[in-house]
Amino acid sequence: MDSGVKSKVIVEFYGPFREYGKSHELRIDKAVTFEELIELLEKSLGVSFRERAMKENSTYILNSKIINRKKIDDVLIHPGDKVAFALLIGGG
Amino acid sequence: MKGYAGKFLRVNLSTGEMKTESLSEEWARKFLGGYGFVASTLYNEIPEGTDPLSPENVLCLWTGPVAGTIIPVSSKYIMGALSPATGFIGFGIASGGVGSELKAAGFDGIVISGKAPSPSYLYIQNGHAELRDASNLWGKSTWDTEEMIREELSDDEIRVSSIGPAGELLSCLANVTNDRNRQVGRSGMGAVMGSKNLKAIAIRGTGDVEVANLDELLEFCKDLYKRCRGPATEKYRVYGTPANVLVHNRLGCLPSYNFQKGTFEQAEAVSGETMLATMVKKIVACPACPIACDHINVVKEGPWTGTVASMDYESLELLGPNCGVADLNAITKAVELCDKLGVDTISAGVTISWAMEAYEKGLLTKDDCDGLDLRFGNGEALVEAVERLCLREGKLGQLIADGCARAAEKLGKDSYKFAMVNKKLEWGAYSLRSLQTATLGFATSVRGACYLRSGSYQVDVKGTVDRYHLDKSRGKIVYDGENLYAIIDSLIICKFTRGIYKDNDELAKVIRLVTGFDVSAKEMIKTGERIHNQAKLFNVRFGARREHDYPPPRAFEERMYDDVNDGAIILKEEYDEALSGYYKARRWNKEGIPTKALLEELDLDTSLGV
Repeated sequence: MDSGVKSKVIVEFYGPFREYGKSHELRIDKAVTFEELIELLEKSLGVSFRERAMKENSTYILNSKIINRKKIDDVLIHPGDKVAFALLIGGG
Repeated sequence: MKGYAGKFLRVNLSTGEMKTESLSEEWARKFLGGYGFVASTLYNEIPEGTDPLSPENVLCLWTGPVAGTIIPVSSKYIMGALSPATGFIGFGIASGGVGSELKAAGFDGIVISGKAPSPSYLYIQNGHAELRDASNLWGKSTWDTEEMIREELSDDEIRVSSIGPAGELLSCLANVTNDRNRQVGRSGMGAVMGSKNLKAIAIRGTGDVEVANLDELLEFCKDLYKRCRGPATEKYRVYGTPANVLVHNRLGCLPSYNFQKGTFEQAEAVSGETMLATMVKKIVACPACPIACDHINVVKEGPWTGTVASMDYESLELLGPNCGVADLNAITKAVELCDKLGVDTISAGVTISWAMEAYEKGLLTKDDCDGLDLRFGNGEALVEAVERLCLREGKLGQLIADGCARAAEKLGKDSYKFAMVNKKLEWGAYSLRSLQTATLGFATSVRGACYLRSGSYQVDVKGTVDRYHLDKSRGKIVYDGENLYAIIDSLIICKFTRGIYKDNDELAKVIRLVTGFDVSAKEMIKTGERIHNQAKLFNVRFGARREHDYPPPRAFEERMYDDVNDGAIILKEEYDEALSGYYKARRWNKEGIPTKALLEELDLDTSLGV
């Protein structure tokens, strides 16, 4: 695999996070927590991103799994992973 | 009685006889309203062997005790009958203003039997009812019917529930429309109205609803309305349910190509985000609703310029990605046709995706499709096919007008294997193999493949359970969801407000403040269990057994590969175990029939129990 891709995390933005674009690429050398990822994103996207991400109805998705916010500290994001920030919606 | 109007209207369309009957308090305490009243009415009044499209079928509309009060988003009503689509209990709950209008007109519900000698509509105004000639309305769209009735009666405030041509043509997919964009969907209630020559029900009411404890209810509602404008409903207010598209795509549970895959390569093009930026013209609310979730799309260019349709996730998904279509204009046109001609968008989408798969597999030829190139992704063909389905037009329309299960029976050639149904009702927009608790909930639903009976998809989507496997513990999750949703659907409040109630105690508080019934949360849930069992008993009368509680063959026989899923499949032995776990939680036997002991405990008729 291309080492450039391997060291990147692709972050996708859905719903209210679209104000930060459709997606964003971050280069990381080692695994990071969501807290650390949000800190890195805050640096490039501004403090409003952190505020939006910390709202109780914001949902974090790592690859194809929604992350339980209560167990967020147990989750590590590795280089090559895909992350998405969204609002979780029910049926309709 | 507080909360209730205390009476309902009984109509015999064959004789034209109409009478007002009192609502028994004992019955209201036992079945609460809405869904509970439908389940009990149908069980009491429809004998075994009844033909769903005969005059002997009973069609009923019920409100719940909160209709017409200030409880947020409480203006709904439910319509039920023996379903021509499934042969089991059929019902749908509609938003809009019909429910609160009926209560204001002095009735909790309407129970209709017989068949009118000629096209008619029922007009109810403040305690009075009359049958009126509808021959000038026959053949008209639902939208035209609403307007023509208001014009005829010179009253713009009249609320109308009506069928379109599909209901008149007795399509099993026919729904009932009110307030233009709100439907009693699923299970063919429009065909039941059509079979009775009943084109519409028009209602005008100006009365009040008395509640048990107004001061405390006002205080409580102040808080509820604040919560309705808070984070729990932001998703519905701003983006509407179409915002599900990208999330579900990322999770690999967005059905595409007739449920063959769980992702769609053009998801961005049909996402709620794209729709909001390019097509949404207006966001509309129901009466007493501070949320406003109804996103109205307008087509601004191309052959369907000027098309207007309300778009929710299910309609968008099943007429879009599930048909391989990424053209929002075509999808909006398809939804508008369904709404105006009176067909359920979920069933239409799944039926056409079935036809597209049959076409691509060579089981249907271009000639069978009246010259349409019915391949996946062809938006123009989608629109044409929807119109033919709604109007039963041509060879294709004749084949698919009653849904994909019946179409597969006609076509043969193993095409039933990819007819995505349970109890002959088309599956909702949730992938079976990557949301397996949801699949159990859909397949055990009393009205057929239904996402609204238990909300069981939530534990899968939120990652609370391993969504790629099943075990016996999932049955209890479905059981709990069904009992709670039976209460929500009997009150009737909008499911989008379920997040504003902190717990079941707060829902029980709603019942106490509105009706004065001294009900605890535990007793309320027991009522939910009673209601669900009453609906199940109706199905048992019409032959429901374990074999009816399975998903379609594709779930077990084909592995799913896409950008997220690498061979996802439901293991038959795991599903069997989960289904048995569900029956155990419900205290039903191995065939899914309630035990006499349970029925006695729930104070239900024990004659069909085991």
